[in-house]
Amino acid sequence: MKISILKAFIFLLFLFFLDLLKPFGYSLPTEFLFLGIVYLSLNCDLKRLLILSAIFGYINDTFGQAAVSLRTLEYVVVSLLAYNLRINFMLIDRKSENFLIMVAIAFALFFIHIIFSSFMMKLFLPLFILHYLIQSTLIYLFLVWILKDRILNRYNLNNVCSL
Amino acid sequence: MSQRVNIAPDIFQQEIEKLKKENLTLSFQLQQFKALESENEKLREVLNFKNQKKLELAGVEIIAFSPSTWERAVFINSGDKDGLKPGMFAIDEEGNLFGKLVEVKESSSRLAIVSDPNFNLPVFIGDEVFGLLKGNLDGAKILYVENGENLQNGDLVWFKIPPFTAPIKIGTIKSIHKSTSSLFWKIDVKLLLKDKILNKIFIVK
Repeated sequence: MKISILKAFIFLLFLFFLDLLKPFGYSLPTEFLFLGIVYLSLNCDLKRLLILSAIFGYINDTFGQAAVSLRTLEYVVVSLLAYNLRINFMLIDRKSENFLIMVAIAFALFFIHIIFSSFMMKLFLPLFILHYLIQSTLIYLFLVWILKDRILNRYNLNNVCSL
Repeated sequence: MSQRVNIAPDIFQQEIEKLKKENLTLSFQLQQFKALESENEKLREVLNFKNQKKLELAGVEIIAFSPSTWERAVFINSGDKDGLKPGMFAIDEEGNLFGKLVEVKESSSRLAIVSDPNFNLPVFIGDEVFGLLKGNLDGAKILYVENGENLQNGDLVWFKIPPFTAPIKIGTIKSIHKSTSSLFWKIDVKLLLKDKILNKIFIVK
């Protein structure tokens, strides 16, 4: 448990550094840390998920302009929501926790993040939102593919929490 | 082969002479500018003008970006110990406005870029019109412009950092329109700041 939470922490830390360094500048509006939170929300157990969401939400807030820890709150709420959606779908039909549903939930979470951020910044930019949604979804799919096919399957693991 | 060997030094010789002439012309021009500057200062003294301060710049490096996509801010490697203060402006290598210091710590600072949604600055458009510039992630817009009838696309948006009199360029007008129900003109600005990732910027002290 301790080792796997540390590895999930390092995974999120790596994504956070990508956000800080922005290797593609502002032409790529995706937030890698949020993708990581979404990925863990759909793959980890609730306890670990809440701890990591709160920690990284807080770290994100310390680098931001907002006086209140809004990202901490958002990440925790998003994690809880994702976890409950996942549980809900599993309760309806255990076999239905498939790839498409996971992607649909991830897309919904991106949308919630956009609404939350737009409201926070008092901005409504349709083109930027479209850009963000498309890029985030594509990079999320790429991240899932990299993790599943290239890392997890190679070591016969279920998800990043069991690394 | 032998012809090539003979021709090459001639070309170099010509090039050297040409460069020497250019160098001489430029040094004459420099002397002329220095003379004009001292003459200008004397005239200013005669006219009792305030002495214009020279632009003091501090080169700083960008060490990180704000992790949120919904903000446009960077962290730089200089702070309080280097004489930086909140509110100081930053320009890029071409002299265009880059942003404003919003938070200064001992050895690092946070700088809001012009396109940050929390960035506000009173600016001039063309020669007569002024308004409030506000970032909107993709670029910026200008609010509260009442007399925008004579403005057109491509007009320069600029501002001054007192006490320096030289204008600092920000961008050009991308689009301008006014609805019948509105008091003010809606102006979108295309920033002159390039999209490429900058490493070095300059703080105007």
